[in-house]
Amino acid sequence: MAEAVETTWFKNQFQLPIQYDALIDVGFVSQQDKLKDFDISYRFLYNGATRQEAQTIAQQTPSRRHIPWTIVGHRTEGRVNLASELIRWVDPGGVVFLPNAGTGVRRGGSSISPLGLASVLSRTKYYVWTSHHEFAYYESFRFIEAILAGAVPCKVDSTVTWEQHGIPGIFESIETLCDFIQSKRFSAVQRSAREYYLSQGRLADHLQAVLENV
Amino acid sequence: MSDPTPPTPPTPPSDPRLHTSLRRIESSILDRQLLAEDFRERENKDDGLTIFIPNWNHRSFLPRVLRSALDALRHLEGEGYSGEILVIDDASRDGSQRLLRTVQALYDEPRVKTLCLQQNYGQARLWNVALRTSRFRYVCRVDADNELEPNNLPLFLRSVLQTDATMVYGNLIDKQNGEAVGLRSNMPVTMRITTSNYIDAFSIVDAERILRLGGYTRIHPYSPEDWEMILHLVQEEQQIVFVPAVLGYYHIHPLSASGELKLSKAGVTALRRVHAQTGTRQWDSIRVGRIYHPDVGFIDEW
Repeated sequence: MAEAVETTWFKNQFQLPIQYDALIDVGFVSQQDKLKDFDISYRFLYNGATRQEAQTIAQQTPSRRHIPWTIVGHRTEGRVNLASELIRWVDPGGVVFLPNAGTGVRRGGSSISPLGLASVLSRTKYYVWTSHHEFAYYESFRFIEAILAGAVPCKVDSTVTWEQHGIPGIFESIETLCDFIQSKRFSAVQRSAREYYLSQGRLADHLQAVLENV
Repeated sequence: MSDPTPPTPPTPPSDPRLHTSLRRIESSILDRQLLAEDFRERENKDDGLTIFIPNWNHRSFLPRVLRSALDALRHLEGEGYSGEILVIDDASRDGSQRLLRTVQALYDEPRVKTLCLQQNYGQARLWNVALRTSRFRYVCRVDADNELEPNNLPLFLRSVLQTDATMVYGNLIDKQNGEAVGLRSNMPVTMRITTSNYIDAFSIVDAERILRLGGYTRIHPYSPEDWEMILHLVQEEQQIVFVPAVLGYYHIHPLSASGELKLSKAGVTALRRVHAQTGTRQWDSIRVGRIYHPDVGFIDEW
């Protein structure tokens, strides 16, 4: 799984008559502290790059990116406000795709195909998001989607302090995000996000360590 | 007792452009022939975009929407496109026409046209007048309580030119007291459009094609003509494209008309009788909504 453990959809999974041996949480930040009363064995798997992903990232070359920022997800009040502020303070020309929840016709409920998202992000500078819910959770898959397409991942979250985790591109407010976009050189932040991800080790190595302890 | 002094005749305005403009406006009100010349029907339209602003008793909203339209026109021209603004007042009784005549006087140029009807046409007929009289093939309807995002209009025009779609639309941010409070027209068309109208009239259409399809119509006094047109386009297998960018804003006020649609059940029933008689059309697995961005190409299909 790769989602916040406080959500109802996380809890609903365990209503099914299935015997679980272990729960492997794929992400950038462990949620073990939030699952003290959980009776299934918990393992955290760092969502590192696969060999192919690492190659893709290493082979990226600078390209023209006409889309200043992109927001994709289901429509929430927070995301609409984020889009509005980015239009006002950064650039009006961002991509905004925020369909109503439950209206997507794709399996899994996603609003846009992975290929469609990748094509948008490959022309985008900053891939910006806020969580669908109010829980402190870092969406590692969004970070990876951005990095693979050469965009810079930017999450706005004021619920907790993320500094101790060292993940680049987390902002406590829309204002700090806007300041960041306006004051930093895109190529520099793009490079530092890539370097951070590649320095965290490969997914295969992390998985091996997890499986040895199951 | 001496004769009273005869009234001094009004002095013509000193600015010759303003004088010409005022005379033309007066003439166009009095002389239908001249009006017809200025607003003649155009069968072979030029490439470019007409920003059409319908108005009915929205005088206090007009300055904002006009300002955004003028800004948008500048952006269009900055990117090499031609454009015009066409405001048609549908026999307002709140002083809108006086304001529009002033606007026409201030912008004495063919790019800004105002037409003040003395008899109320209703939205569908007004739309058709705009489509027929627009100089350009593509028409962007912007209601008086809307506001264009001026920078993004060229992007939407590029989208309609590149896809050859009959209708192109994008996100509209709802604003209340200056704050973003909602989002509409925020997803592609699916067959769910037969059960509820989630695409706003604020969009760009191909005027020639819409007129060939019969133009806008009201099949019931309280059925929304813009929803009927989308249903019609779906039936005609015309291309309707969603562009994932912000086209503009909808300013919500306590008495905004968007809430009325929920009440006009008879009109909605009439629409469904025509376009979704069996009540099962929303289950048709027809993919009608395409997502396009000019910097990316076709992104997805719903």
